[in-house]
Amino acid sequence: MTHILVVEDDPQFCTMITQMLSQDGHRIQVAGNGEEGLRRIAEAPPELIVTDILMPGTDGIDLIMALNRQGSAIPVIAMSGGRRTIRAEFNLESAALLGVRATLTKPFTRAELRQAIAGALA
Amino acid sequence: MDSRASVQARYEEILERFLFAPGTPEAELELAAAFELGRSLVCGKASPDDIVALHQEAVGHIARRHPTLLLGQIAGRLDQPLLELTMAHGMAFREQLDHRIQELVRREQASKLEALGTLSAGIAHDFNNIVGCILGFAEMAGDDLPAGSRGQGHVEQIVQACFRARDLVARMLTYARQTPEKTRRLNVAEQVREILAILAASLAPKLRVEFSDESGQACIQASPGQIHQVVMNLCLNAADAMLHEGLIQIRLQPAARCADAPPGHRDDLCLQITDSGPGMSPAVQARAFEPFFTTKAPHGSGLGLSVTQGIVHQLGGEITLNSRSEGPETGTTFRIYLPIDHSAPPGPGEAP
Repeated sequence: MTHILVVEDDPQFCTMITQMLSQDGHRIQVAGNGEEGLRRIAEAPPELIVTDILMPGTDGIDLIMALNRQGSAIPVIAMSGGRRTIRAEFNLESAALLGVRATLTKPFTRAELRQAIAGALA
Repeated sequence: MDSRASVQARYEEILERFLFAPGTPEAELELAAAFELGRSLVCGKASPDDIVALHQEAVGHIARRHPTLLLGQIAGRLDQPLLELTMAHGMAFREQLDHRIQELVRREQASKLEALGTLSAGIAHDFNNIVGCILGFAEMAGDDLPAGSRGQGHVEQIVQACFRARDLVARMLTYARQTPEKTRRLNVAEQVREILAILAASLAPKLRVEFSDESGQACIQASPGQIHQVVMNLCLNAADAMLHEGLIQIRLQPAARCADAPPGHRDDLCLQITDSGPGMSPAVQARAFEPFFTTKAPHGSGLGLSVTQGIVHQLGGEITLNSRSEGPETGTTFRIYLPIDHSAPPGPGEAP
């Protein structure tokens, strides 16, 4: 069982991924944006962070950069579906440059999510 | 452009040569010259009345120079050059019309393609989230159902449909990226004037458009279609906001003169479009660039401003919105900041 923080602004997507991870036996906390995510991390550091990249306010890139500045060693998985004029790959490449353990392009399968988590925790 | 006096002098020359060489090959050449002159006059916006006045004045001058000829004789013999001039009117009008129609059709098609590209990129994020939800819940449902059951078979079909949706979005995005508009060095002021000429025809009579050009011939890198769509979208929005009466002010100036130029765009060229309409409430302003958001339902697509913003971003620029919906002076101002192309203009003989 892993303590995972999910940072995702789309409520339905958040519910989906939370249930999927819970069913696999993980303990899940959620945050609706990067700022809330940083608060949750400060309160109770998770073992793994799964974060969306494009979110209003403090986005996933801000979150990862803040963690890097804090010298955090918590592994991060970045996920993105892209946006107008911004491709998902671009976001995920940026996240990869910042040292995330795995990236997931939305939509992804349960198997892809499991593989990313296994890779990030290895 | 030729002054009226020099056009008059050229036409009189043509008439005189025609008058004294009837039925010869030279006379035919003079008719062709009259035709060409007529066409250039029409392109300089001469009306049929202008042309008839030009002809009558020329005939009058010739009659005075040749007192031995009767005015009636001269006028009768000169019917044909006049006919050529007025035919040129019809021809030139047709040509301009055809050209205008072709241009509009071409631009409309280009706009549709651009809209598709911007649209698909615009909805990709939401769409991928939605498909992600369907895919995730379907997989979980499938895992909960007994292996090999009919329900699991149905769920497997949902999962396959999600993959198709994912591939479709990926293809649309690839398509959108593969068809970038071919950009070139463009004089923005020239483009704006061209667009306003087209726009003028479609505006209500009491809607005025003022254009002040302080760009100093500054150029940007863009395609004419992109600029056309941006200016047209904003002007038509402005016109819609004012219904039947009002003023659209267009101003082209260095961004350095705009107090609120966003960081990174202070050396850009600023295209400002202001209307004297009722303005937008803060709630509308906040969502103005959102795809499918419209205050013009059921007729508005809600895509105009989002497409406009998409194009401006493609060009490395920025678009800002200021609007006042209360107080004595209401209205909306859009400012578009576009990076100036400082490269040397192509010299004569070089391809543009």
